[in-house]
Amino acid sequence: MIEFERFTTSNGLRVLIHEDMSTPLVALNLLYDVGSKDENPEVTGLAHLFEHLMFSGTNRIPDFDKPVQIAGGESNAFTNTDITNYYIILPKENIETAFWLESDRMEEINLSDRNIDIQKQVVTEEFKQRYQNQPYGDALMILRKLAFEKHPYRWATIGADISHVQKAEKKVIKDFYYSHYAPNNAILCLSGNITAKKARNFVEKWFCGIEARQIKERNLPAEPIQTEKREIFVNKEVPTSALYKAWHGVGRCHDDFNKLDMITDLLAGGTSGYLQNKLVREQKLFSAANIYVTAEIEPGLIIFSGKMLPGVDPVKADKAVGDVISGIASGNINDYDIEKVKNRYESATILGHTNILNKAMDLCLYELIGDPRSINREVERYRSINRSEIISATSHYLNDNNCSTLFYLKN
Amino acid sequence: MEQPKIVKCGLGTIREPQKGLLDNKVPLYQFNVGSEEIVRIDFIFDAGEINSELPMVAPITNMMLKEGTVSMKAEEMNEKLDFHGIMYTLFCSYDKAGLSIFCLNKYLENALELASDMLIRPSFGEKELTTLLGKQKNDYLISRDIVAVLAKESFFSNIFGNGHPYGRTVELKDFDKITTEQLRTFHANCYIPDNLYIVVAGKIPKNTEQLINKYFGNQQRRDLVPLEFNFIPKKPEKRRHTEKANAVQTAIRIGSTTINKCHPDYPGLKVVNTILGGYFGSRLMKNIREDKGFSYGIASSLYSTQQSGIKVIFTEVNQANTNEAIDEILKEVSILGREPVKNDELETVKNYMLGNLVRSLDGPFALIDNFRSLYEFGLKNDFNYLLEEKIKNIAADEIMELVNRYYKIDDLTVVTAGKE
Repeated sequence: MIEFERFTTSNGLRVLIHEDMSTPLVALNLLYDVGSKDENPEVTGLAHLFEHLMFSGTNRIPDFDKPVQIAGGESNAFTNTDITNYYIILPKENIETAFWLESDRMEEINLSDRNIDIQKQVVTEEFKQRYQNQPYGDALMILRKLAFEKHPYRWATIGADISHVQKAEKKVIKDFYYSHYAPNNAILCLSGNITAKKARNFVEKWFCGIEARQIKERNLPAEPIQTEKREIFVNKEVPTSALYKAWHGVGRCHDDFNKLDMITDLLAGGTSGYLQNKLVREQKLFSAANIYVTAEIEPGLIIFSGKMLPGVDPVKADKAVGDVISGIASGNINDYDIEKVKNRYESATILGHTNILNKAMDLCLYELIGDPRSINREVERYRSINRSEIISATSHYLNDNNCSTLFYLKN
Repeated sequence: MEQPKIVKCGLGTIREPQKGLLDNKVPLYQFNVGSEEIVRIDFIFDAGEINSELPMVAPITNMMLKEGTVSMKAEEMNEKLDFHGIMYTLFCSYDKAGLSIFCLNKYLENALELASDMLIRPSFGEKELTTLLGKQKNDYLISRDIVAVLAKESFFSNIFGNGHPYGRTVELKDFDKITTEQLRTFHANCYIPDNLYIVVAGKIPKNTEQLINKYFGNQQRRDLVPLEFNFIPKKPEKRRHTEKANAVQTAIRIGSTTINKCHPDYPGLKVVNTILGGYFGSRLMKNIREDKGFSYGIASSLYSTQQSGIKVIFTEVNQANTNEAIDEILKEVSILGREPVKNDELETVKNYMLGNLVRSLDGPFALIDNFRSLYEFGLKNDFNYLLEEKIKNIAADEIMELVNRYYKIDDLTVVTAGKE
């Protein structure tokens, strides 16, 4: 059970406080409601570039990291299609430093030409390291582009093309900051060894003076419903062929989200998933096979990936994946397996609750997508899903007409 | 508004584990801390690379533990583990191997029963081995396309030599030489009570020691004389390159063997390592990433193994800037040996390291990691206190001295993988 206090400041900042006195530390997590989905299709990668620029200092605090280090803390951030999330973990004695730093860069950052140029280069190297210089590094980019025609989920967070980041103009970068970074577009969570009273005072002192800003209205194009299967074949210099598949799913808040999550866990959770047993151990088609939901706020994807063993016919491998899935759709599952994935979910949830930063990130996310109180009802929600709901969700979502397949073939 | 005052933090008193012995003298350490109904249990054996004369026997033996026991097929065993929500990781490093599990307290006995089956009674079936090796070969082939993997391998084989368990490299044909017989023999000699210790942490249920004893306390000790292998040391090459056409980045590894954490200079060397490349504000990050933009990241590390310590600087840089990056890295090392670190920077590093030390001891699961990292070297919490002392008291001249003793440019080897 995660207990918390919750309030909204006069300038629109939503705040959550979770006391956990078993640790000498406090985590401050700050979520901005901006992700790569909010980008202009012609200038993608900005949300992520911004995550880098937020560490480049401000006029008042030229070096962001140094005070964190002096205070004995650690800090980092991540960006995805939906959000940009920053955190600082500090010994409880020094937690006010985190308020000072985060409120400062919420108010203003130093977008000097030099800072922008360097971070553009760093992001370019990140792009190379993750997507170009790894075998199969670009597979999910190709898959997203095939699965989505209109929706901004069609490009990866780092950008549709790295040249977008390299060419992004200063004015566009500046506008992006002022139209997305503001108290009224953020959620703050304190988790750890801090009383709610103390946290409230710090929020009041550091964040309440920042003016609310006009947030760019979100107008995301709806993705047309897919009506027939899509396939793409690419040939590359890779050691072994691979298969990627994506089905359209639902957003995180949708009633069917947990069902889809459970289906993917039946297929690939733990070490006894159906894919592992049938395709890896029994039929020896793949060296590894995985499936997961992207857990995005807007309707996202269910993604399968598998590396084939040498000599395996990709079409046959693809059919075998389809067979395992239609097995579930035609009722080939028992209550024991369903009970199993529910138990696994319970364990994973409790394990997640042993970490103050995890709890802080989850609270912010649940606040964003609806109701943070539901964080304590998730296990129960999973427990309530029954066999027939799993079967019907499988045939409704995981069918061929809703699927995009990428055959990533060895040259 | 004014910057908040910063307080220097310290370790305080570190929690000591409660020590016990199973009936067969296997040591058991317990950290009873935590508020959730979950425990982590680690089983650690002397069954790492160093314990085998042949390459891959140690890691493959470890991986095969999940592939079925004498009484249960792999599918059934994994089904049961998953059903009880037991999460497990098998691990095999240079010196140690074993199993780490997380389980809810209500399934503790199920977890222990399954763990003892896995660790004590694996079946090593022929069919299962063939499947596993097929998968491993595939993974091996894929890893040949990753410059970071190539550079890491090349670095270790360069500093230790191909004949040493820390340095030996694997070729595709080696996979076909592995037999179930080899694995059985290795298992029978290494996964034994004589070589085992167990650590538990979390909100530990009362009867835990009893239960662990029930499942792990009656296996007979073997009282074997530990095997000693002789490895021929080799002089490292100054420069080594692995060519990878089409690579857009070059992986760089620079370093050498050094002292490990048993040496009295180690805590000081850890400070040196941090200044150089051990945190986000390090000299190397400032230069290679934040000033030049050559790389997404660069770091330096100190590893301790039973037989040696290793210091290594590692990064992947834009292919065109490879040589410039290497020069800049070496320049940073020599500056550190020539110019005293300014007070301001040293204070930052000290505070950062103290905070890091506090975080590395926060919570039940971190306590296990810290305990293991010391126990295997015969060290105790004194080491943490000594490290804290050294961080607080080290001065600029001692840092220069350590750099000049341990970071001689001529001793460092430079290994690259990528497009020349």
